[in-house]
Amino acid sequence: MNTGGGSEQKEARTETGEGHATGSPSPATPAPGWQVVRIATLKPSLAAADGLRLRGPKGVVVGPDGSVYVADSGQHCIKVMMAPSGTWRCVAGAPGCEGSTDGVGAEARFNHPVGLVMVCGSDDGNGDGGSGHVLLVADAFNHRIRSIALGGGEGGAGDVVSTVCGGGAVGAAMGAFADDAEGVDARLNEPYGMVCVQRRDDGGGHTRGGLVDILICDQLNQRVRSLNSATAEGRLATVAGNGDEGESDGPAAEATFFYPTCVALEPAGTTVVITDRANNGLRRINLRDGGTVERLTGGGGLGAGGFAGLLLIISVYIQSIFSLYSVYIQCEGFAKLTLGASQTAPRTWPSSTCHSASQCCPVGTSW
Amino acid sequence: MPFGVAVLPGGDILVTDNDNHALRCVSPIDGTTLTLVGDGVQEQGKEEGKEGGEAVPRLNFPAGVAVVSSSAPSAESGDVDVYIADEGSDSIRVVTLRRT
Repeated sequence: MNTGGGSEQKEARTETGEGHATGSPSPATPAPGWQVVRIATLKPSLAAADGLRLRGPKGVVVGPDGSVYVADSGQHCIKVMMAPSGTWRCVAGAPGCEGSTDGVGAEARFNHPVGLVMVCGSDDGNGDGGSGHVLLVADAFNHRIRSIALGGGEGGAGDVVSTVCGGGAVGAAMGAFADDAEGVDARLNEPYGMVCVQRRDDGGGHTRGGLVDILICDQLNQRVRSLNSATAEGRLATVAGNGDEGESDGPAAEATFFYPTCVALEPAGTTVVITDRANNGLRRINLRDGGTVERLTGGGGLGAGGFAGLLLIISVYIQSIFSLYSVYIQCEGFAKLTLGASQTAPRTWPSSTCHSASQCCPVGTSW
Repeated sequence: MPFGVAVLPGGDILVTDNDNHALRCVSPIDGTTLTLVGDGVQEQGKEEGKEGGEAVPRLNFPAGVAVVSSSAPSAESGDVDVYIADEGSDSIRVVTLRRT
């Protein structure tokens, strides 16, 4: 196995730096300009503690020191494979237990975390393993954006989880839409992918110490939102989308999406690309001209009331129902459930250890 | 359906095609789409309980994706590491891409 958790740390270290090629890449047509030279698998070893294992991860981001942060959506927690040791650690949340509590590390709760974005602190590069950086989490079923101030694991200051925006009091309409509002007054509806975008008025060329906006795919509101980090609690506004399900291009307030799911920043820094999931397409938003939306590829017919869209709606709701149900299974019968997970067969791919990458998280590294 | 998206150095767009179990590459200019990993078939290891049994690399409901420059010192023409949250296989896949 590629990595160790706990007692397997030593074994993992002996493999550090080695990767196993999986033979020739897929028979697929090679894209112009790029070829696959290696595919490796990262996951906690089967001998690791039950709670460390991944269960349906949906989000991943790599920190400045090469540590790999994972939104373990099915287990409602955030995990990390630390570089260069390859050891896995649960950063925040308790595996298998959902909730919305803020707190330090294992005291905090999430509900199906998905999107991750890393905002580099001013003191990165000093080898303290991520301290000073903030990991933002799209906490989908809590309809909130959470932040984790990374303080390190054992011996560190702890990883402090806070709510940035969205949600509101339990029992209120959590997954609704409220725009141009701050903190808990803002409303998101299943936020998924996020990306960090440099504010143009900052004048700088990097995230660190500068002002950034976080763009958020507000999936069930059919909008792309922006979180302005310049305000204390984070002001949430709409970048594009009028809230209707559809596939209309045009000015921001007229454009429509159908489950906008993830977002990435293009190199010029002035446009973002959105996966428009139920439309089976890619859209592009121009941030410089106020949010004009255009179709990049795909789309056309599978969304907007089509059968695939209906299936997606059903699957999203089944997912939500299952999530509500699973809180009882997982928190009351956690030992039983994780025992089952531990019996899962090994995966098919040869594995490698962590990369000891040392690059800083660039602006726009998304998930 | 397209799920995760990330942009490669130079602007090519990577998309995880969730229920096609594929990693696709899209031209930022004309949207031309080609497949880098996957052949439309779900990776079968989980169901069959076998290890290393497949002849071609496959993914299993790939979701979120992140791109980082590889740690290789040759940065300009260096490899790029693509991290994929591969939901169905309960793991992170790292696909290393090299410029051709």
